[in-house]
Amino acid sequence: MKQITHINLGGHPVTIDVDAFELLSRYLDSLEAHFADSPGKDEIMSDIETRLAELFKEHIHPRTIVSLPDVKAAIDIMGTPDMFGAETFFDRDEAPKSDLHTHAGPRPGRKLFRDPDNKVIAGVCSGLAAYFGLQDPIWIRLLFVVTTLIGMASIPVYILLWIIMPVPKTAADKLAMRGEPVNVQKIADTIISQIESLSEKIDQTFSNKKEDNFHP
Amino acid sequence: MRRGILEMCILAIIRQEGASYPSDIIRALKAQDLIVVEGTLYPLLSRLKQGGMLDYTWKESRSGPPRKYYSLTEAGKQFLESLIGQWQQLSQAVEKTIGNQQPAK
Repeated sequence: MKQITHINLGGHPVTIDVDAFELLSRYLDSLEAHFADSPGKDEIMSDIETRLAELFKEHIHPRTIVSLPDVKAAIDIMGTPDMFGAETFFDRDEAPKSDLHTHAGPRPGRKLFRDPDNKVIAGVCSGLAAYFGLQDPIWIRLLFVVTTLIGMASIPVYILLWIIMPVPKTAADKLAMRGEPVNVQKIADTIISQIESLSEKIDQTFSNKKEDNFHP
Repeated sequence: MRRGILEMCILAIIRQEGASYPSDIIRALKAQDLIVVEGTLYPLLSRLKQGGMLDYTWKESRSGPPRKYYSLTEAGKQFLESLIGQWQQLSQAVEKTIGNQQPAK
């Protein structure tokens, strides 16, 4: 005799016994932790839950209660986080194409970011220059140097800005930093330029690895 | 090896199928051995959606809750075109390079 419980898995009602429920909970927790930084986490989780419910349905038929082997089989099909990490395009610390929806719209105005592509120390001055629409960050840098020389507390201010100004992570962020209009086409262009290194990457893989795992 | 290429294949499948249910995309990818575990697909779909390449609509289903169907946006179509262009250029170059060299068996 085993206790059973009813759960809502991605909108599907599922009857599951306690052991299976325990394993499923742990599995979902591990996925949740894996996707914690992804902006689309909730959506990914709900899609995966829906799919798991479908897999259960296929697997238990004609039974009605999900038990341990059913959950194990579904996990085998869905895979564990370390398995799908290897197949995705961006590494976890590379810029994901995220947050685009929050920047959607014709001209959201400039946003204050540090500019890591154009930095002397931390990109604070060039970020400020971009924010104020200056072509050259040299004036902001000079301002910091001069105010420091006349005894003002510019260095702590710089450090404070260093801490509070974020680094642009996405294509949309970089456009927002320069105050360029953020629209889908612009973002697509920016992403395409990021993908342009794709050919090189594949090229390298071809020349570096004697045997590739691509099925002809 | 499959980085980026998987995105291209997903977009291509969705272009061919029209509005696609994730399980059908999985089936198409698995048929060609392009993915091993299904979990790979969902973060990619989410990323492509957030990048404005995909959109989805909910459709009623006879057996269960409404289903989410993904389709290409205008940007997604253009993005796919450009990816396919790059891919063809590359694969032709590779083909020409390795095509003449029959591996000794």
